Amino acid sequence: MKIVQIAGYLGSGKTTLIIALSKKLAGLGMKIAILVNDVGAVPVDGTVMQEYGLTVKDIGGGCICCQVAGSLMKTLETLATTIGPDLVIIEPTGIAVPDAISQTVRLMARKLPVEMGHTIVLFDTSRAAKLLTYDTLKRLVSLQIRDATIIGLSKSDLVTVKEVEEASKSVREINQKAEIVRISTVTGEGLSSLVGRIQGVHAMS
Amino acid sequence: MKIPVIFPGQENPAHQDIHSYSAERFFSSAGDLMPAELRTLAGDTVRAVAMGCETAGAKDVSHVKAYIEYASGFLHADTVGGSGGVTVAGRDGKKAKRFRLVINAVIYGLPEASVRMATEEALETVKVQYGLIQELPSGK
Repeated sequence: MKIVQIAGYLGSGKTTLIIALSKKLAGLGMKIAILVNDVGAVPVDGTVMQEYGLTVKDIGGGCICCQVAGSLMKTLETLATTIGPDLVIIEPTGIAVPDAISQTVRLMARKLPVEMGHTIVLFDTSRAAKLLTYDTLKRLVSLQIRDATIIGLSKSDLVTVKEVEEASKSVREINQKAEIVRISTVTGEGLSSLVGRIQGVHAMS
Repeated sequence: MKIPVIFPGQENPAHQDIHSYSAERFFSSAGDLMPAELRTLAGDTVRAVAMGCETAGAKDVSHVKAYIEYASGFLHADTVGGSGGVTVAGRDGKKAKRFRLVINAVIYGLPEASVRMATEEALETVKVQYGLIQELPSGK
């Protein structure tokens, strides 16, 4: 069971991207399950995904990167032993630090046949400057970008080519290793590229 | 870069200055609401919450989401405020007289009480604007 994380700050387009990718991956014959952790006390993202016919497990009660990491482990175990999907896509809250979740998955890999795939972190190009302006917000967004194996420059259809390039330069200063992919769920830019990367990579350190 | 230290069960220090408020409402309407009206209502709701939070002094309307469920369809709407616009999507059904609305606001740089107040005020505005009757009040 491969596990891929699609993280990124609030409003960066995680849910929309996951719906689009899941449809493509399912169309290629992959059995997909999605694990969603919403910030709000009344979940929205998981409910919306279910409405689109996807298999979803909702984790509530706090953020899976810290407050309810135990729930993440239990839910992954349940998924592995019951549904047995080929791929689990984790959508953490928009305030989660991805590495904390990857560490939990690596811990799980000691006792279950799970492998950590890519950590895709979305960066909203339409809010690039704002997200890297305020101290505490910049710290969180930078931590998220730092943990990525792929950085998705999302909403590329809403900004100019120059703005995308500037956003790319900003994230590259934070993370020198990750692949950078332009993404738009409106135009479809970058989606096939992500599908290929999700399918092709079997283990990330 | 300082890496936050996280203790099991505790909130990550990286979450500083980010507050959320969720509310769930069951509304009914004296007349039928057409699918197009419900779409407009969904958009108006997230826009009103975002504007309320901005007016209250939010540094960033990080994400305001709404989910509307009715007998024959569903809608979801969201905005990140400012010039980000509002997105409304879902599956339109037939006209409806009753629906469930969930609103979820996550805001950077605004105290939790202010997020709550801005959200509740926005819900009241939308309720009056569309002549809705609240059936079961509930907030979390």
